[in-house]
Amino acid sequence: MNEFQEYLEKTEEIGKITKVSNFLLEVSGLPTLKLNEMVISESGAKGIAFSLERDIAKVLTFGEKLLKPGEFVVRTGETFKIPVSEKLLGRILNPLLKPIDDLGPILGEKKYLEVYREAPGIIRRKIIKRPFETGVVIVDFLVPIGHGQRELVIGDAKTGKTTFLLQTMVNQAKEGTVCVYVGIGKETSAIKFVEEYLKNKNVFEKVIIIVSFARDSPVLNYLAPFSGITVGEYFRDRGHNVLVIFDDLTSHAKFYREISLLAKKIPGRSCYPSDIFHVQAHLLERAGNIENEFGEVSITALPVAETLENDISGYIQTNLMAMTDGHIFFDSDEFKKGKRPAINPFLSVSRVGNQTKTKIEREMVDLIRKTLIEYQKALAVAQFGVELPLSTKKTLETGKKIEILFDQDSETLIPYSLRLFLFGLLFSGFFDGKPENLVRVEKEEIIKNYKEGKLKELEEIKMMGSLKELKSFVEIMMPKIKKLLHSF
Amino acid sequence: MEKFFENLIDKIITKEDLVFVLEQIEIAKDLLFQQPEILLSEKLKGRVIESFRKEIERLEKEEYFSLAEFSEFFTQFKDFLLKIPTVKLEIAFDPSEDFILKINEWFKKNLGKKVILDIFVNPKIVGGAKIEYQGKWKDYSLAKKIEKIYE
Repeated sequence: MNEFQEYLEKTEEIGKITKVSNFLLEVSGLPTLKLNEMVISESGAKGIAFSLERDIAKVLTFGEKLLKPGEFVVRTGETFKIPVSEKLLGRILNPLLKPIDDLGPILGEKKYLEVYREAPGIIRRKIIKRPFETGVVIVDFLVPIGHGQRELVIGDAKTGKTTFLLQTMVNQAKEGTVCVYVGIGKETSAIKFVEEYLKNKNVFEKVIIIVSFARDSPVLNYLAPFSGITVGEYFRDRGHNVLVIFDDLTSHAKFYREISLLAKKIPGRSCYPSDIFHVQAHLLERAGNIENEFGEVSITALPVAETLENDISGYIQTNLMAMTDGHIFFDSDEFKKGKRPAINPFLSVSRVGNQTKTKIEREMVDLIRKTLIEYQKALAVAQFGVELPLSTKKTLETGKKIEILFDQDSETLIPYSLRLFLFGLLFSGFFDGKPENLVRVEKEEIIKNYKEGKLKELEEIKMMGSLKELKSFVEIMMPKIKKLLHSF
Repeated sequence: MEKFFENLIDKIITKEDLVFVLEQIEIAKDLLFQQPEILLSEKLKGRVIESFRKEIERLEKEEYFSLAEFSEFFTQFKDFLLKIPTVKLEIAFDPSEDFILKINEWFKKNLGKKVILDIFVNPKIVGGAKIEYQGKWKDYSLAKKIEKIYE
């Protein structure tokens, strides 16, 4: 018996396609069809009930098969399901989880999970208290993220958002986190870049890439983030911490708008349908820190929003800000000035990340923040070109050096101990009086030595409880650092 | 609309009957504006069934329909007929006329409204019937019952 007949006997409801317009079907019959329910046609094509009207239902299809008016469809009584398994790791898939990497089919046992699932309730959720290290100093210090947090990554195109996300993925994959990268409306070259970066860093086996290309049906693009979070939930429920990246949700909103307009949903602001907030909030609500039989496990979500000319007040952008626990703003002005990553710490915020920080880190961040604010004020004064007092000059110098320490290329990841040590050196006066270029070179040299395992003592920093302890440690370490730099 | 063609509508029982009546309407529509000086009922003589022609004749006498009104009337009548709900019936044998009438009466009594029967013969269901009505589908076939016994 085929699937169509099986479901017909199970649900005892039948409908007929009355109109086919691109990826959208109009179906009559199916009197008790529910929203988001999966339907199957006689030819085996699957669809999702998208909107229900008095006499007809509008059904989204994936363009797998050519459907014609007059063809029969049946209800399934289930929402749309995708086949998930451990074997998805290291693969590139489309939103229906069909491989598109020419490595053959996904073999082995699969579990069919519903794409639209309810978010964990308040009882299951646990307070976010485990730090989620990105390996990017400015973020880990000034906009810290916790496991289970939803942090929006927002900024103009080509300001380094994807690079930051890739660095985060690499850092987390090395810590054992399962990473799901969802590309929405992407070009093949962009996905190739992501694949190569991750392969070069030897973490591809810990990553699943789910991608819908710009050339694909809008339905696949709309479905992609839901598939991504479902895969994330599968691994979370098996005791893994998961990172899900949605790159990007502004494109997702545009695809949803396209579908909704074709389905004649009433357009609202900027022609987006009125339920766009609900659709994306429902998606992001599925991330979080929960407790299950494996202990505390989390899905950390990093949705991306693209802006135009640094305008963060757009409809979708503000929606996403409202449904996340903070945002990291990539400023194109900072990017043009040569700052990498081009994150604007004054316009970025993390609402729950600070509670994951250690005491020593919080003290350090207070110090950095205070210095940066003074630096901004000093910069405003300095632009008048007047003779500056010594204290202002000192603030400017320290501020500039903080910026240098925050500068980080796409290849470098800086762990907890090293970043505390570098800033410990700065505030202990190690870089005082040195020209900017020398500070830059010395920073690179210290990082290089750390990577080569010549600074194993820095691991002691993990045990330290206060800034005072760090300062004494830095004082002790200074001769060794000087020696290392001298030999260089 | 029912009051005009009450007798005719009553005689539409199966999908085939419906198709036949729709064809009659098309013929009448085609002839409507040809030789306007001759009455439509006259033009239809020998081209459509007598009951349909007589109903047209009655409309000409009692309702004083103009040609344009006739045209509009035919369009509305066609829409009305196409909106009568259909019951799809899959049975194991070729039904007699009497049997079809009985079934039609049963549906009329139980559903409380006029339906069109779309009968499909499939000997593989052995006995009983598979019924489809307004999106609902029920399998009351003997084949299904036998299958259940062996499950």
